[in-house]
Amino acid sequence: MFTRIGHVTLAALSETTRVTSLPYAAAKSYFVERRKSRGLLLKSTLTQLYFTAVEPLAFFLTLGLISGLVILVLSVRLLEPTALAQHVPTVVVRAVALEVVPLIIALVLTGRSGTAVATELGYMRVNGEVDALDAAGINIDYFLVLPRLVGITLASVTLTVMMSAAGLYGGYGLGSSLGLLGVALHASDLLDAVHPAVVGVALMKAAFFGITIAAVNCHQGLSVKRVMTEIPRANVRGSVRCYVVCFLVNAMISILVVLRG
Amino acid sequence: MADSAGAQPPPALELDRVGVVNELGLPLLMRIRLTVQAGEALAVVGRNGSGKSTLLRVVAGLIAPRSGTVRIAGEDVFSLDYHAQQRVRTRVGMVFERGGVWANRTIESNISLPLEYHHPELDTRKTVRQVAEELGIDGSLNRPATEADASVQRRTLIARALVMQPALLLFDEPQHSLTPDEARPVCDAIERRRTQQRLTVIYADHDGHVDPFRVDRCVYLAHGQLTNQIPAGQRFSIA
Repeated sequence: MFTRIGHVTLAALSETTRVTSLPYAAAKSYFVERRKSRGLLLKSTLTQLYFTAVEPLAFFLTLGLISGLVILVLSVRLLEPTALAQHVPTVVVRAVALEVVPLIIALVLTGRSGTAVATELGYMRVNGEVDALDAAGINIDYFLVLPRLVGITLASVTLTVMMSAAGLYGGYGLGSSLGLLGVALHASDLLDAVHPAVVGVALMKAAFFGITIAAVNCHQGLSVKRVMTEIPRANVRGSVRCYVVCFLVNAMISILVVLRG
Repeated sequence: MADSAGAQPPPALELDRVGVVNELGLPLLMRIRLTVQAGEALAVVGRNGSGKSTLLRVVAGLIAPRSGTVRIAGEDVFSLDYHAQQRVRTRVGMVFERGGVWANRTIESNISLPLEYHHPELDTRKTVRQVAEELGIDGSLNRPATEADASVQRRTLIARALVMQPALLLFDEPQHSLTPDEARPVCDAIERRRTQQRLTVIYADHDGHVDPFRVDRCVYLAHGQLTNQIPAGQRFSIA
């Protein structure tokens, strides 16, 4: 019993070490491979950014709009009749930009881009493509991991900004035009509630989630050995780990932010 | 040939007591001693599972040996720093038995990628086209790799290895996916480089019938160990 617990703990620690060292190894590879093609790296990064942020942009903006509208309507309807009415803009901005948007993006990116990365790299592993890169002297961290890491992280950060804007101002515009928000709340109130600290924490969360999703799924994909049936397992492991880490870290950061005022 | 200092150049490849184990600790290769001179063509022959592909993977740097040393052109590759190891590895071309084609690229991109990566300053198109013409796949350069047949994919791997002008070529199952007519230009391209650039070639094959590929020497691998060295031309059957 204790032996089994020990083995499981050691395996978990070992995997955590490998995953956390992956972003460092990828960043280091940028400097190690300084004489190699930057064009190939840029092309791969832009491709990743396109598939992660540009292609599903309309979907993310729609999600932002709907969630912003719901939070605005709820906050206005519940708080306006009370003495807390003046806090509506702060509550809405914090709920949208700090909580809902980064978490929705993390969940969707895990299910969409994370699984795609784990599947692609797993397939490349099974098909001998990773070994072929290695045999050709092509650095795997530089050529495969770094573009996905940078692409997904940049996508997570930019989507957070755009989706928050869509949620706050798109939601406000839609709510106002439908007559759901009353007359006491103005767009300028929402703008005033967007403090640099809120933006900083939101972007920090988004960057952390992006790095986590990319690193965990790259690790899972590259951990596939030679059997095709390992790929769906790697997919599931990657998604579950990302969900757990993102929820935990999101909760920790949110509590810290609340405690520090 | 002696160099200016009068010393013999180092062998193209020297394996000294190389041992490899799998993840379960079971031996795959045991105390392999093998020397291949520059310009030589060697066939490593053995049954399926005897360790031929593992041996090639060790030389290509894909598997680190548990014991022993691997010297390529006199350099102990696994003790070198990263950049030196990369420099040595770009001089080794590997043609895998199966897989290895980058699925989301065209045939041309599959051939040119290592060259573009290591030498971004070069215009790769002319070099790639020349090698593709030699191997008879120049008509397929713009096709997606996944749409090409097995023979074109196989020759793509060979072209990818040759385009880097390797000093040592590792060729796993040379006849795999190639008809005799398709193998002939591949053989000619290799022989041309052996003559002009003293290319060293190691073929791995399961039955020793590597025609039309020409070999100077055969070694036999059984259960991860090298046994009697068998002269080329001598046919042997492995039941």
